[in-house]
Amino acid sequence: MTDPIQDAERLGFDVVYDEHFPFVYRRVRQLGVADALIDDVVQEIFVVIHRQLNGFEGRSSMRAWVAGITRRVVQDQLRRKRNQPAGSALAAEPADERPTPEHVLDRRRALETISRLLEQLSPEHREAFYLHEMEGLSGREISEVLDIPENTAWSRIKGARRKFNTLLAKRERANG
Amino acid sequence: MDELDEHARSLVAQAREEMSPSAADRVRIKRAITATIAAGATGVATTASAGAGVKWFIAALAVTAAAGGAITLSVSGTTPGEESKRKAETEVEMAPVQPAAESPEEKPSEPIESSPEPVAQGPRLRRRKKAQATVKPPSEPAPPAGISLSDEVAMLRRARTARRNGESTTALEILKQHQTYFPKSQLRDERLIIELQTRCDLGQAGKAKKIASALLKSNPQSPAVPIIDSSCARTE
Repeated sequence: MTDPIQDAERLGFDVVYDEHFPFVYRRVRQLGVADALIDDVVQEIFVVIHRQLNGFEGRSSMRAWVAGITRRVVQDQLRRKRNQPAGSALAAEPADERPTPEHVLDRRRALETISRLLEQLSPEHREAFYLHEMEGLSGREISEVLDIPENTAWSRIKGARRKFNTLLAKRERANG
Repeated sequence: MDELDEHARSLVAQAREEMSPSAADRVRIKRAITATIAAGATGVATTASAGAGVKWFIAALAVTAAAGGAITLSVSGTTPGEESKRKAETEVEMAPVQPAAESPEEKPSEPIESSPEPVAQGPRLRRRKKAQATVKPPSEPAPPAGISLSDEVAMLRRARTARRNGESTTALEILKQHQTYFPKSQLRDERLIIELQTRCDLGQAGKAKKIASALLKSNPQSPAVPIIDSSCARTE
């Protein structure tokens, strides 16, 4: 409370948490962590972030840095828990009970639809699509997270969009 | 065809919203993270799982902490190829922290928590009680505005560091301040563990035993049991 260095440290972490918590939470779900483990995994990710925050050098965006930590922690968690494969689908069930007005039902249907469609994409396309279209990461940020060339990231984004549009149109036709 | 059409964008936006955490998720997990970080100061970590309570994050960590040694917080989360790098990055000794400069002026005695503190009742009630009192109570510093769980963590870390540096009185002052500011703290056990250890450092086995009793009474399965068993509260 009086030590400016301590306060700056704390403020830094709190800001990172406030800004990136929703992304981390969604990403943990998207990567296939079981609902019962989401809290623990998110917690573990932010403990890593807290420990490594002072070492963040700004060579990538903070979002890409957080995304990289998230991905590594989740992969490790999935290995340890022998959970479902990473990125296999979006979690279709909410993590907690929420009110169910009509718009919430619409959101759930949308999530289910997106989940079904993403299941039909290749893992590479699925990852690129999710990070770009749902989380707003740029091609450069995705290249940093996935450790691939930026051109490759953009190529995957475009390929995933094409495939996604095709699958969605096909689904719409099938549903009349 | 390289862009998503409007319908697809709408679906994506709705799905994103559905996957997003609630405000309750944000607060719950933040509290758990804060407690875990605080455990770096006490050797005890907590889980975010509802109702799970305190657990050993890493047993060796607690043993090290109980022995007054360097505290490390090992966190897994990298690919095998990055294992050595990860260990170097995450097993970092807790940086020394200077003791709080704003410790309360009241005497640093008996920070053992035995009953609910009136401070927890909020400013309005506290003022009313103060007006009714015939004897002015000792100063009870209210938490500064905007104080957060992170501040709790910082306080306990300072106390832990002070104790490690042999500054037992300072450690007790900080713990007393923590108890005053956070009478119903979820980090109560962590605070009591540090106090128990500090009392043992001072040769105050009687007080240490009272703290041990309080800890075990409130939580017989407390992960602090190994620390208690190896402390002066048991051995003397």
